[in-house]
Amino acid sequence: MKRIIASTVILMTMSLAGFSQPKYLSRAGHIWFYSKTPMETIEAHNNQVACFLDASKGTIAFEVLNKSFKFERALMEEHFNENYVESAKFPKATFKGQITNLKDINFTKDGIYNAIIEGDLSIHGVTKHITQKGTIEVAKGKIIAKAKFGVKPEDYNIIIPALVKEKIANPLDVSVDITFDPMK
Amino acid sequence: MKKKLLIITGVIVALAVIGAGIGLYLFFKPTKDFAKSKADFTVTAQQLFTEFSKNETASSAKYVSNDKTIELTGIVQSVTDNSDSTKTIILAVGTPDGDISCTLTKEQSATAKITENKTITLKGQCTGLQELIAKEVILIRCAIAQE
Repeated sequence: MKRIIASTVILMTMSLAGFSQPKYLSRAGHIWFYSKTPMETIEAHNNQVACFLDASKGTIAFEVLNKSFKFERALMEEHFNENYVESAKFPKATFKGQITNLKDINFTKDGIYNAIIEGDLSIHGVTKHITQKGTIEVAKGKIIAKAKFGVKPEDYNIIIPALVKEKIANPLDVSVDITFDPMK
Repeated sequence: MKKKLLIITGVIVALAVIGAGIGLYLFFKPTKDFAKSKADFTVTAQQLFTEFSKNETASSAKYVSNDKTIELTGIVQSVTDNSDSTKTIILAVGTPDGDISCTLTKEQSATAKITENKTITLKGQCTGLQELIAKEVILIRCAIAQE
C-alpha cells in the first residue's frame, strides 16, 4: 500500500513537472545587424547577449552591451561606439516585452511556432514601444527564438551625418537568434 | 621660376598621395588583434569581477574605453560552442553571484584546447558588465595567452 502511494506521488510530481512551463535563459544570444547599400556593406555581431524567457507568463527580456558588437573594420566600430550609439554614455541596449499570442505556443511540444512580440526597445537612451513577428522553436527541451526587424536610427535619436547617409541602410536589418536552456 | 612651380606641384601631389594613403589605410584598418598586443592590465577573474560589481562606471572607464588589452587569469567553469564557430569560456569568480564570459576569436576557437576546472590566461577586450541574469563581465576577441 505504502509503495502504491509512493509511486502515485512520484507519478503525479513527474506529470506536474512535465506540464509546468519553466523559465529559460541564455547568455550566448546572437544579435547582429546588417546594412547593404550600393556604396558599402556593414555587419556587426554580438554573441554574448543575455536573455530571459518566462514561458508561463510569456515575458521575454534581453540585455545587450553595445561595445560587444564586432565589426570587421576598426573605423566602423569606432564610429558606431563614439558617434552613433555613444557606448560610453549608453553602454546597454535592452528589450522587455511579452509574447502576445502565448496560447498558440506549446512549450512542451517540439515544433516551430509563429510568435508576436510586443514590448519596449531601448537604444541610445530612447525607449520605443514596438511589435514584431518572430518564431519560437521548441526542440528537445531547448527554445530557439528568432526574429528579424528594421530599426531606423532617427527613431532612437541617432544622427547619421549627411556625408555617410548613403552608405548606411535605413532601416537597418536587426536579426535575433537566441537558444535558451531551461533555468536550473 | 618654372623650376619652383614644378617643385611646389611635386610637393602638393606627394602630400595628396600620402594623405589618400593614410585615409585608405585608416578606412580598411582591421580591428585590434589582441593576441599580438601587449597587456594594458593584468588581473585575475576574481579581481576584475569584484571591481565591476563594486563600481561599474569607474571600471568601465578604466577597462572598457579605448579598447584596452586585458590579460585575465581564472579557472574555467564551462565552455560552449557558438553557432558562428566561436567558443565562449566562462571563468569562475569565487562567488555564485556571477562570472566572466570570454569569447575567443574564430581562429583561436579552431585550435584552442580548453579543459574545465583548469587555470587559463586569456588576452582580450573588455566590453562591460551585464546584469540581466547574473552579474557577468564580458570579454570579446580573446586569445589564449597561457594554458
